[in-house]
Amino acid sequence: MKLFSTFAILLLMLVSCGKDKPNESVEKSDQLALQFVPFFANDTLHLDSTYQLDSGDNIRFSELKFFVSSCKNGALNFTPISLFDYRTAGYKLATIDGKASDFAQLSFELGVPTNWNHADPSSWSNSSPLNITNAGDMYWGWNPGYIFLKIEAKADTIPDGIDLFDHFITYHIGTDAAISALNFAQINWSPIQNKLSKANFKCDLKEVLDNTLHPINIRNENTTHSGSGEAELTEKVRVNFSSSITPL
Amino acid sequence: MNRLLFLLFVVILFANSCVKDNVAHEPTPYTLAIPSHFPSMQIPADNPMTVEGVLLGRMLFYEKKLSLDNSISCASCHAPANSFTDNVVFSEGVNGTLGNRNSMPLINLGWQTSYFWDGRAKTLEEQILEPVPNPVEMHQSWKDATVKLMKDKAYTNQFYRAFGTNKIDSNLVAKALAQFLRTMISSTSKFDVMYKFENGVALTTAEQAIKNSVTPEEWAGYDSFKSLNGADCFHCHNGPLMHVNKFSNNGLDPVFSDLGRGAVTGNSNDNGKFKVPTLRNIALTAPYMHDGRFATLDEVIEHYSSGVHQSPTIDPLMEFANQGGVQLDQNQKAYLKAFLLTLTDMNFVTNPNFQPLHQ
Repeated sequence: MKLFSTFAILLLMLVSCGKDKPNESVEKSDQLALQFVPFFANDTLHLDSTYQLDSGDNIRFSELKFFVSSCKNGALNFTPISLFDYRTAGYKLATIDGKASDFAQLSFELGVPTNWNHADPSSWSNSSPLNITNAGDMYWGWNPGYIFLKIEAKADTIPDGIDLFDHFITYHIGTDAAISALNFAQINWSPIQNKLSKANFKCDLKEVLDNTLHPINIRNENTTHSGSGEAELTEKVRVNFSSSITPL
Repeated sequence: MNRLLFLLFVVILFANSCVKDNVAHEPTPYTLAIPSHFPSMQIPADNPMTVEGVLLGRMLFYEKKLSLDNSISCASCHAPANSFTDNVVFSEGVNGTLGNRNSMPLINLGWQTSYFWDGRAKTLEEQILEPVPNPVEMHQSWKDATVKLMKDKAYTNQFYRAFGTNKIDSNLVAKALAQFLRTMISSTSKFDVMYKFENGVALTTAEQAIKNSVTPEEWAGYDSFKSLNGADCFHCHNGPLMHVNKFSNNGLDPVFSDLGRGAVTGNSNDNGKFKVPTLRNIALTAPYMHDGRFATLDEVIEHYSSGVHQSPTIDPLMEFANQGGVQLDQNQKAYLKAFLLTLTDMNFVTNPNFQPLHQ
């Protein structure tokens, strides 16, 4: 009898252990993933691969990074600030909990808002892309602030059939005036998994260089760090990159 | 029934006997003192910092039993006086075997996102697991190393205090060492005062005095360091940590005898790239580069000024590679060197909390 009651108590204790288990049937929230897919004309762009410009020059891109800030639909915020880093994170920009119907339109800025651009880069939370350990080489210093857009490449400008990518292209676009506002009236969210939808933007690096309105000759327009003597090229890169962005 | 009770009693007695010397497992959370101009540090959830863990890590850092013949410890290649590296091209392991890369200084490791020159370890804990069994370093199996530690009551007790067990294994050793290494924060160099002043971070009275002692040459060197038309160093060495988390080919060689990052990723586009190191305490950490090829800071400056080699994977940020480098004149080189010397943090290298327990 004593043995029986001990057994009963043990059984009761075992059963009670299961009481606080989380309810596995709790529904997951809807999620939205925003992506950027780099292109070179009609082809998906791969870093370190060779592409040809209209001039015949061959080019290999090695870095494509940019900050997207104040991403929202009217009063509904998507994300305050995100860093696109093609080499490290691929197409991914940001994933949030939210419904596609709330973000049928989107506006955002390419760059970092002025009030954040000159804040202490160590003061941001560890998860913020503005934290100096996350921003890394996208941070210039207190005065100029962050690099908003970084495109780095190497080109072979001698058409002799010999690969010699010794011409460096460095476009570092930043400073407060270089922020660009973009609006998109129709965002195409596609369901890709249960509860997860994604929308892709395209950015076309051929359009940045072989632009009809503001063509860039990489042979002599190959470097800008947004300094005072580089305003013309800085503006071309900024405008061309912004206009190359379209929803996919 | 009595026999069963007796057996239970014996089992309890055995279990309790593991807790020798009345050692308790009541770990005290360790609060890291993060400098005001530094970002916060991410501590892995499975290795929270404790006073007991940090102390254990400090004991292990100077423990020669971790090597095959009890001849070397971590500190043998990472000595405090050299800002926790050594002053040789390649460090000497057990039996005089030499490594093939220069020993890296251990500074502000808690903010780094990859370890070793080729970044093959993603966490500090993962990095620590390598040197003990490495034939050109400590050359001892973890099993043998932990058996040696288990024979030492000071260790079994301290492992119990830190982790609640006196069964020592490699993972616990790595955790304790990582905790200790995360406390090794360098933030009190003259450069730190210059950085704070420049960025509007409040200075103490003592720091104000240091700021007033910064020479025009040091400021000129700092300006050149950050100038695109000067030394142009800041793309890879910026912020309070004086480095960015990336791999770069800085133009050392036209062809590579060491593939560096490329050997880890298998991607030829990474060949010849190495982790960008911090420049903190650079005056104390000679020789320089992954292979220790430069004996002095002057040689390093000369490399960036006129010795850069083109290669297929050279970093496009080496913008003046076509002309061999940034072409500094003698004054600019002297100013740059003067600035680099401001990165020396003697408080860090002499910090009593980082020295051996018994000297």
